[in-house]
Amino acid sequence: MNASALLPKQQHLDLERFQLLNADLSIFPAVARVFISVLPDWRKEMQRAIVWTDVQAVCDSLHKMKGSCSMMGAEQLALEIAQVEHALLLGDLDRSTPQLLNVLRKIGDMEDEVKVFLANA
Amino acid sequence: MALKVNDDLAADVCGTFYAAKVLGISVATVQGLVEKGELDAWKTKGGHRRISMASLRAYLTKHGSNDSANLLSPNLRVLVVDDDEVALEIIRSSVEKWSLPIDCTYMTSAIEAMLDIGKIKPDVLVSDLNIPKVDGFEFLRKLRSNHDFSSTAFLVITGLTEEEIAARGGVPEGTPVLHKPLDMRWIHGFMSAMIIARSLYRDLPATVRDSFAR
Repeated sequence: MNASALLPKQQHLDLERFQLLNADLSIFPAVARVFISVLPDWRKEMQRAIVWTDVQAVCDSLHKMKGSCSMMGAEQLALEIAQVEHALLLGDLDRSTPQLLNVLRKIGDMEDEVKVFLANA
Repeated sequence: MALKVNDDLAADVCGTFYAAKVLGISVATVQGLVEKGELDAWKTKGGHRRISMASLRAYLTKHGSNDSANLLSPNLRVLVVDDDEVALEIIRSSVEKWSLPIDCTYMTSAIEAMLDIGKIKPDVLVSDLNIPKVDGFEFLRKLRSNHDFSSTAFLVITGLTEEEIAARGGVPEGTPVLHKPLDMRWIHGFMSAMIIARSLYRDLPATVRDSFAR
């Protein structure tokens, strides 16, 4: 499978990295479908945590997404999520809100990339 | 030696000691069953008896013993616990592709795992540390101190840093910690080593195996 042909514009996903870690790119479509399927529930979980200003729950959700992103080969995004996670643990939700919104937007961008991949796969 | 193990795995056979352990009888009685033709067996060039696992399973079925059936599976029993479904899917897809003799069970919560782990009796427990509702650290410590899981190998998979793990009390001594993103080639090597180790363990005399369990 030619990764670059399937995903012309890669902002977050690094399929070569994925291939290096897993020695097999053919498993990526199944993994991508799981990623897309869990996102709605993850967003609800995150929304609920923000509404309740439950910083620990926001961090737990971010931590889970950080793992998913890094496993998908989006390690730069995983790193940015980790930074927000740490900032939240040290400070408060209000002060970290711009960073949090930024990573949430990027997770949305990654979702689009994954959908493009699946449409072309 | 490695060649012998591979041959045994491929041939689905075991030694007399393991057969005795599984059947809950003495080695002499196993030999008697072989003489009577109730178990299929043959001798290697080195004079060691090899018993067909299929005939052991058939014998157990015939005599209605279910308790030892779990021990008879030639496959490595692996339990994976992680609430990250993406990580679970990567492990699941990889295990399927590897074609190794592995029976893998996947769970997204430690509570679910705690309910069933006694039945699964995993040879290897692969667990995340940040799992919902149960402290993953406590989960591992409890299992490590439980005699029933003294021979279970633990492998931690986590997005936490070494510092974060240490700050939360660490994992049981000797537990390998693999940080996300997981290097599946490393896990493949680990599982292969565990399969070989299990096969070697299976062939040890019961007295030696018991000393490992203590």
